[in-house]
Amino acid sequence: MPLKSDRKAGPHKKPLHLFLLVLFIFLSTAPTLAVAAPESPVEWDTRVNDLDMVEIQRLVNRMDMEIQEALPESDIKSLIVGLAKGDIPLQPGEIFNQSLQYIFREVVANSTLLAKLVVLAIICAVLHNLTGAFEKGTTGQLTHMVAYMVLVTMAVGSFGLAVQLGRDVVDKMVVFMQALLPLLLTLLVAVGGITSAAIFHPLVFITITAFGTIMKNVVLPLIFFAAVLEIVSGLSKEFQVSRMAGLLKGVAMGLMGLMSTIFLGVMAIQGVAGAVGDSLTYRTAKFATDTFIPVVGGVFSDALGAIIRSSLLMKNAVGIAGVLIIALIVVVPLVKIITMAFIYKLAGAVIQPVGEDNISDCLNALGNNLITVFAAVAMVGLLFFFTIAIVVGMGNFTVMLH
Amino acid sequence: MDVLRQLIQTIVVIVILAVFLEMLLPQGDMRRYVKMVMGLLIIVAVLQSVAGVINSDLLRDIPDVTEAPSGYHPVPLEDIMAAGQSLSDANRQEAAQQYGRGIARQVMSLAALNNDLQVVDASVQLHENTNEISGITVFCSSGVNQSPTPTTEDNAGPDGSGIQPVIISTPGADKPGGAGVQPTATEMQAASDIAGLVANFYNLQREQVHIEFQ
Repeated sequence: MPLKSDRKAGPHKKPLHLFLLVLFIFLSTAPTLAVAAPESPVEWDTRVNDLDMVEIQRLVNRMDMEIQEALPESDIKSLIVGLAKGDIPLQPGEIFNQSLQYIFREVVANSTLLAKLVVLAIICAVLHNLTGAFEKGTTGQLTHMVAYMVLVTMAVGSFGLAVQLGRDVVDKMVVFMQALLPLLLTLLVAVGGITSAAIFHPLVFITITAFGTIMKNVVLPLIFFAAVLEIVSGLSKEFQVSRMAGLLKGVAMGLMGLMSTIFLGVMAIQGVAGAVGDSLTYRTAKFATDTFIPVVGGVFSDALGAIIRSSLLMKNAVGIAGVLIIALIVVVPLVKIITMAFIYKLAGAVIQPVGEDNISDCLNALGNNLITVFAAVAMVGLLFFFTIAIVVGMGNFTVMLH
Repeated sequence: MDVLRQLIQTIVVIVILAVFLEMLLPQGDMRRYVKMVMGLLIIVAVLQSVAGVINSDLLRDIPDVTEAPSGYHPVPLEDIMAAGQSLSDANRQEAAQQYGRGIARQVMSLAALNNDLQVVDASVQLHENTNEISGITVFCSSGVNQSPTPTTEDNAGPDGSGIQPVIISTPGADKPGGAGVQPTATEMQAASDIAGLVANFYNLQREQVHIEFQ
């Protein structure tokens, strides 16, 4: 019975498209935000030095070399000042070209795996065709099964590595968010979002940690188990457990959808409530000043507003730097995973004409499951991106309501 | 997840065993029976896992979900609030400075409307918390609109510049101070007018506006 995993691959591509689209829009608009900086370079440096970025810098220093090389500035303070002043151009075209080059390099690096899989599949096909030549048919079957097991072991090994890579990425993103959010919340308090920060603090930390933990310890293992069961189903046409694999995959996908809905819903609603509360406090004070101090009552609030807006710009620059680092943390492993999925699917496609349906379906199923792993990790990155966007946007919203 | 992991391991072992038995057994009814027995084994394994999950304490693992990974300690809200408040205070201070400078320029423009007195500078004092204007000091130069008086060593100021400040706290009420600079009656009247104008314009008490002659 052929495995029917192809149909399930379609919906997983949506988060990827959405993620890339949002990332593209955010990164392409970043320099426009930064050019609006009204202050002198010296003042920017002073403002950045007031912020505690030791933890973020430590995390950036601990990142892989390829991520550090991809960053325009390895010093986080220089990166933020550069983004705020518009000195660091983020060219979408260049990013796209570099991504393509990286994908190509990864495909070439994984070509060994492809070669091994194809050779083993051909051996399996030859053994399968030679079954009739043995005195007993079962001898050929046994040999074929042993070859199949070798292939599956190899495939599961690399699949396990991909899942482990995904778990590490989720862990890294959670730790980075834990370091970045205090900074963003500090800047949110500085622009007057005291209520927002007070609401966000427990909420955002608990949600991020819970989301990361569930994704790492529940969703990704479920996808792995589903993949293992699909492979086992390929061993015999008589003894199938593909329904259980489908169940596990369905639970994983459902959990992912449920978690992301709760995550976004809670964050958005709580954030708006906080922003409205903050703006109410600010507007009451502003009304009192403007009303009871004639002529010049508005001057102070205008001066404060201008300074708050420069802090807001700083907060946006920190947010963009955070998004950039999150993107780099997640993109490099995602490219590795998607390349591996491509290799599996390519191997499955190449093997199919040889006549080995079992192996072809197995490799195809592994490819589909890797795409699910890709979607799960990308979903974490996307939601963390949304978190940064909401916290940054909440500051903008608070100041806008002033 | 350990329960699920064990279940998957068991299922994999049972399926592999079933595949081997399928190969080793002769063709016939025995194969069907073996397949059914293996199927029953899988059902038993699944039921056993489900029973294990139901009997265990499901809420036990929930607190772990919200724990930060690898011993990372989240920054407490108090620290974030304190840091944010410190930045906010710095912003407020900067805004107050800009505000004070802006008001001082306005005061100088207002005072310049009076041609009898030349205004040199102005400073604005603000309340620390409310940023309301607590006082305004206008610095004027004396003797500009009259014939200059030669400076002697006797009336030289403490800094040796020959200029002594004259402070008019309440124009019309206080006597002008200062030993070295003696404003004329016209200047005194102009100072009084300026102080009244500034006090009225900014809704202040007249005592809050000071005129200093240099």
